[in-house]
Amino acid sequence: MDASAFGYGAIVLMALVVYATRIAGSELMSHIAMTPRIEAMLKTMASSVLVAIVVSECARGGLREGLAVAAAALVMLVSRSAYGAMAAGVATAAAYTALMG
Amino acid sequence: MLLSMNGIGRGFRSMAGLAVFLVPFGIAFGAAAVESGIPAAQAIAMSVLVFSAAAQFAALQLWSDGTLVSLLLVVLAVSTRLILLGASLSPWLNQISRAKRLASLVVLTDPNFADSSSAFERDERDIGRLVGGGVALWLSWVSGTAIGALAGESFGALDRFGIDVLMASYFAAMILARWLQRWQGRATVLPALTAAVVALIGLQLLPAGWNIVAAALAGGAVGGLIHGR
Repeated sequence: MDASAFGYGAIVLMALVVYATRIAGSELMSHIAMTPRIEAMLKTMASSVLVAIVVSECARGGLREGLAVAAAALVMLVSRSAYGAMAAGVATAAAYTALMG
Repeated sequence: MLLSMNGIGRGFRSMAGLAVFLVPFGIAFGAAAVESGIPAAQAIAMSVLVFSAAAQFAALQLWSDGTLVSLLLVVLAVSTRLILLGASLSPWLNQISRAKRLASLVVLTDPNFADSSSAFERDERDIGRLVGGGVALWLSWVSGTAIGALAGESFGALDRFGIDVLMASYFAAMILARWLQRWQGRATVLPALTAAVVALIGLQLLPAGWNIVAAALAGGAVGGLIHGR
């Protein structure tokens, strides 16, 4: 097998692994009876994933990332616009980099 | 719940703006892939088929050095989060036929998960919201990769323009959107605090990405435990 065939083979296997993780959660839950408690757990898990991603990004980054996320949150609270929030976050981070290097 | 073209259109429009700003991430991946010695055609094929920034960037580090088994294990590890995303969409997803559900999940990623699960919590009844958003994100990821891989260079670091904080800003906005929609006091605060603390501790102790999984499970467990109390 040449290098190119090996490369494409690896890509297809990667795709299968990732697809398996995409379907595994809902497949698993299709075998479990949905109770109000389990539903509450799943819905809390949805927000928890997002909280965990944001907190990790800020911790891995630092002041710049923290300020950007804070600006995004503030604009979201005031304007209720996700795009406004993203613009504020990106602008804050760009300004920080421009000023602080 | 249903799956219709109307819903797919709503999802596409809802993610289109974000998708445009994600093109630079695709460019960064395409350029990094070529730098790691992956032919441009394979880099593009990877974005077409795998469609996961986390898995693909992780794969770059192991592409030439690691074995196939270690490559696939790392891909599995950074993708474990997707299992939780699928599970937390299941109250809605599992109301459509299995075939439609398995087809819809081809394009499950973080941003369209955030968008569609918030929409389902409100009044959206169409799984197309998830699918259309995924299609928009897929188009931008693949076209970005193609630009980066063929041009062979990214147009400078993402952080110069602040684009590196785009996703964190979006997710922060989505968290607040949920809270503004349905604030449940203790039942909102305790799981979020738990998830934040576990994510921070896990960042020090666990391999990359696992802290997110641990935090989501911990937050979900707290949410389940205090439900109705």
